[in-house]
Amino acid sequence: MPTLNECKRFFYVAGLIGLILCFAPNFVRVLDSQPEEQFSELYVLGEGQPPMAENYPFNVSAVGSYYVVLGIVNHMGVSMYYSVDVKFRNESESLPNGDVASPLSALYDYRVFLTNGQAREDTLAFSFQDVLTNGSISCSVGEMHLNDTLVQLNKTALWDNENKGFYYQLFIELWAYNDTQRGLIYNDRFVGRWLNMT
Amino acid sequence: MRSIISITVFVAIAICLFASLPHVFGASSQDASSALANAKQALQTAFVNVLEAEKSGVNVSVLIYQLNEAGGSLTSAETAFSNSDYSETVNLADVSETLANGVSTDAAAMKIQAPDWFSSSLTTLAVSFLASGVFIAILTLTWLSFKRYYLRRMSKSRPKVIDYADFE
Repeated sequence: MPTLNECKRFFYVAGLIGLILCFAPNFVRVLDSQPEEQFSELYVLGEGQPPMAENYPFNVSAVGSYYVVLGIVNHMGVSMYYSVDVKFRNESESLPNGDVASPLSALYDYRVFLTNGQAREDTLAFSFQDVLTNGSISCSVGEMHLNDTLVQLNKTALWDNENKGFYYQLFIELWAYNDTQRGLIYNDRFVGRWLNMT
Repeated sequence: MRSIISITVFVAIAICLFASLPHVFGASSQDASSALANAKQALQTAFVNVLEAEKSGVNVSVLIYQLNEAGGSLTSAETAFSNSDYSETVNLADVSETLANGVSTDAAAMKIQAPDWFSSSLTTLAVSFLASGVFIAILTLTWLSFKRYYLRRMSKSRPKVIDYADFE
């Protein structure tokens, strides 16, 4: 037969386990509120069903119509307000640098609101108008259609001797609403695709 | 008297004509820019309200869906603006602003109804304390009755005398 002290020890252990079980919901709540790694995803996919990271438009002209799929995923732990800015540049114009957005103005933008963990994909259709090529010296693009918006470009690219073509880049910047600064701030995320104007 | 009536009628007609000018000639570029700016501001304010509601523990999925609708209308308004369709810009921007204002109102109402994180934590903590108090009380009563039973049993038991001579 166990001694009284042994029985007492058993009751202590039972009491301790009971107390842990009683306070377990509070521990779970505190652990749940611990911040995870916070980031936003921005990606671009090529043509296809389903869209994949291939079949990107590359050789473009004034004749064709092209599209890419833009995706955003929110892993920020809270709901987010994003602005997607679509920009277009030639090889001499600047890209975003670190947390500083490109000085080029957005040709087209749209807003996306996502809860934590939510993802969204949008199609960006584009085509070109008034493409003029001056032999193997330069190429100028007059206008661009981005979804339903007609944008004046008047952008000139010089012949790239190394890569043999007139290169432009379509790039997309992700801006996010900053509660402290009460406005949309460049989120240090951009994706781009090179286009060879033929 | 007649001249006063004539002047009054003339002024009334002039006011009516002036008021109907935007509808006859459509909205101007300035009207469209102003409508776009108002819609953007309303959208931003709505998002801030949704964020505050979310911090209070409200599920904001429906509000986020509505914000995307408002954002879509704003994008369409901007497209209309770039195509110099200012009347359509004003219409779409107004739709966006109305949707955003609706979201703001809903978010504020949901925030008031929702218990905040602190109070819901306090409730969980209070339940934990109550449950642990009841558990400790039951355990203590069990221990006391067990102890009494154990000691009674021990005092009733007779010591057994061992004759060491048996071992020899």
